[in-house]
Amino acid sequence: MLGINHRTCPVQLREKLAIINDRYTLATEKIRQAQANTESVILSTCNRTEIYVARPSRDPLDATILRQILSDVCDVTIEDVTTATIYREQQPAINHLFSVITGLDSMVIGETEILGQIKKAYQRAIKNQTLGPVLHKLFQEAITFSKKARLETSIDQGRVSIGSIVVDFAKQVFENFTDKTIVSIGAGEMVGTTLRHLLELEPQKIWIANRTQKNAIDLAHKINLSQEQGGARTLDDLEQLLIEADILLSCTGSSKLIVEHQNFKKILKSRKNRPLFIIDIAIPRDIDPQIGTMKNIYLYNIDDLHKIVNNTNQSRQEAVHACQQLLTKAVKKCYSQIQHRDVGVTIKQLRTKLFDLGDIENARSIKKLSNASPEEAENIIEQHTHRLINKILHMPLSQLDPKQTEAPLGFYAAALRRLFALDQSIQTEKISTSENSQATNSEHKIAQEFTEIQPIQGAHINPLLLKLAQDKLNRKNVQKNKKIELNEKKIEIS
Amino acid sequence: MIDMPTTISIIILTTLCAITSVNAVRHLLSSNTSRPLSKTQKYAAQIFMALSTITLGYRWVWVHDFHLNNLDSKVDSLLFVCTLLAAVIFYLRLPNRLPGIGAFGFPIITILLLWSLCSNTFTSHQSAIAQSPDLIKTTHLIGVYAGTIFFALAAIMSCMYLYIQFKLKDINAIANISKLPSLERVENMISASSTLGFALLTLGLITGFIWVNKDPGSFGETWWLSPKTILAFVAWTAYAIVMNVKYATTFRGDKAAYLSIIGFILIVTILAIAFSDARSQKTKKQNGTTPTVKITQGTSL
Repeated sequence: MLGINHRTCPVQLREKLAIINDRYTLATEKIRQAQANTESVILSTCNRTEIYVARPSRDPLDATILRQILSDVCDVTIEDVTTATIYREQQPAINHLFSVITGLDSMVIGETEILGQIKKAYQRAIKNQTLGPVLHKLFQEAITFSKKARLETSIDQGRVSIGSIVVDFAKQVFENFTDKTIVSIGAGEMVGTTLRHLLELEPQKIWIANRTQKNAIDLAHKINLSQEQGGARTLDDLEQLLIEADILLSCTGSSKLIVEHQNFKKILKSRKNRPLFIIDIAIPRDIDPQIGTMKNIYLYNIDDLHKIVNNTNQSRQEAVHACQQLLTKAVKKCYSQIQHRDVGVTIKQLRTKLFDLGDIENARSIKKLSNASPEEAENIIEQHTHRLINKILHMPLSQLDPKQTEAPLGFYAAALRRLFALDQSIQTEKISTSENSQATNSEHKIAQEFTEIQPIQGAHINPLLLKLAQDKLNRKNVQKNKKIELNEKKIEIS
Repeated sequence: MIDMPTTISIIILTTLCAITSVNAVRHLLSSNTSRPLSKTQKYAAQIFMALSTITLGYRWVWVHDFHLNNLDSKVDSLLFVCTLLAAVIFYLRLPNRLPGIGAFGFPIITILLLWSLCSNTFTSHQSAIAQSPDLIKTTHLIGVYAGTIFFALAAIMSCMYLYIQFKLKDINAIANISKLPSLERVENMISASSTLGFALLTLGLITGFIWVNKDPGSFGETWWLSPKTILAFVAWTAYAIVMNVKYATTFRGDKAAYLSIIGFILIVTILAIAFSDARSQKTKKQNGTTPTVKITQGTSL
């Protein structure tokens, strides 16, 4: 994985390195040209551009090639690309994708948008046929894990900004906003930000009431409020506005209460018990806290909202820890599955190669055997075996040549010892295997009878176990013979 | 006494419903409210619906021999109400409808099922309706029981409304209700359920009135002064207010919710009176005496 994100480079460079529209096709084409049969997925969002590629471990793709491709496609100098990019391979790359997809690597931790963006990138790769079995498996696993992590750790729950909390609270009180009126008292920056969030709810009317009407008009223009949607009012209309309001937002610089309990009580009758959702984000407060205790009135102040934000941050921190624990396990599992796939291909190649060698030797020996006497045949078979073993061992043993100073001889030697089980004692080998270094079927049967475990064909059998099994079989045979003798005697008597 | 298969089936249904109630309440109180229902809960719901439907079918075919008026039996009527109520709640608790309703609905269904389990002594009784079935009496029963289902729903949603309202006022608890429906939606649903229940109860009351007039001797001369009739009228008035709460604004909000719960309690009381009347009639028949009571008899509501 090669990529940039909000932590590695500023927005100006992120804009330049975005792989969108025609650049996407160009980038995938360049990756294909760089090395045939390379799987790739390109993720490009406002916060990150990442290229995921998969190649067999014996033939990896160099990071510099990817950097060069990114540099060429985005027309950014290679130095800038090298400075800004991060490169991960093998397990760390999988770890990175899993972190990104769960929102652990996002600017707002736990955000859900990234999951959709990765899904899109994955589908686009399928459409462009740049996906192979490895990345297919990896992205499938990542998407499944993301869903699981979000469900089990509540990493994406809670609100993180005042505006979004206000919207969520409003949604908890009201279902439909097309017949609702929002009234804001004050025309400051906080009111503007919160009103922008509330505008997403498409309310029927939004009135901005302010002591200075000009500021209210300016704010209405700033948030693109049309005449049909509402407009600016003065505080003289406050009583009427409080009757009309379903959502009241207040944030003025006033040192006194704007809406007092006694005054509000009088208005309540005219409201006909309609619920009123009040957000008081002013310090000192604009709305009398006593109003919050009245029926069908839901009043929240800035402290309440901050409390929610803090709770969310705290719970998300706890969730991050839980999520990371899940992630470590999932990454290990996924990496091992992908490696298995790679090992599977290697085993297949090894088998094919060895069988090819065997076929060549077979053809040669069969030719010789056609006109050979029995004595000659024995020699031919012996030679055949020697030749085959030598041919098989030639490649690995040639790697153990002491002249090769740069080769990891110790590692190779250890691997060979492990792979061919050379550390087992010769005595064990002799007992546990038959003449051809393989347990015969009868021995397997004996062992199986004794242990009730199905042995693997050709596997080593514990000599002690084999001896016990043979003893048991002998005892059985003796018993059988005795039975036969008894039967014969009975027949004779009759 | 009810037969063994029915008893076993109701025991299983009650247990399943109790388990579902506990799970639903735990789910409601958990901090991770967006977590979907577990597979166990889904399977429990499916088993509950399948078993209750089979039991109803079994009762109708084998026990009542395809009799149209099997609702005169206490077990059958309660089972009928519970099955339909559970079906509606299982539907409503799906995402984007009324998630969280299970925590309020299933405990009520569990209580109703327990009631039906304890009521086996009255089930063999055949009331005046069953003995001489006709359209008016059948309509009366269906109207009343279907109305009860909607009133039960309105009461369940009212409990939910009060819960959400309580949580909205408590800033420390507000984070846990983010996935519950809005107050406005619950209020609209209460109003809709009450309207449907009101229409069906009105149908039940009118047909009951016609039935009483057709056979005045059976129910006594002062049937309209019986507790059942008076309570039915009070409940009817309560629901008339609840369904028009948007216009009768004095009762808007928690008042309407309380009124709806009281209405349901009244309906349950009326059912209990109806069942006990049926029992008294049965006892008198067994003793060979003619009923001389002035209050309502049979299962007419």
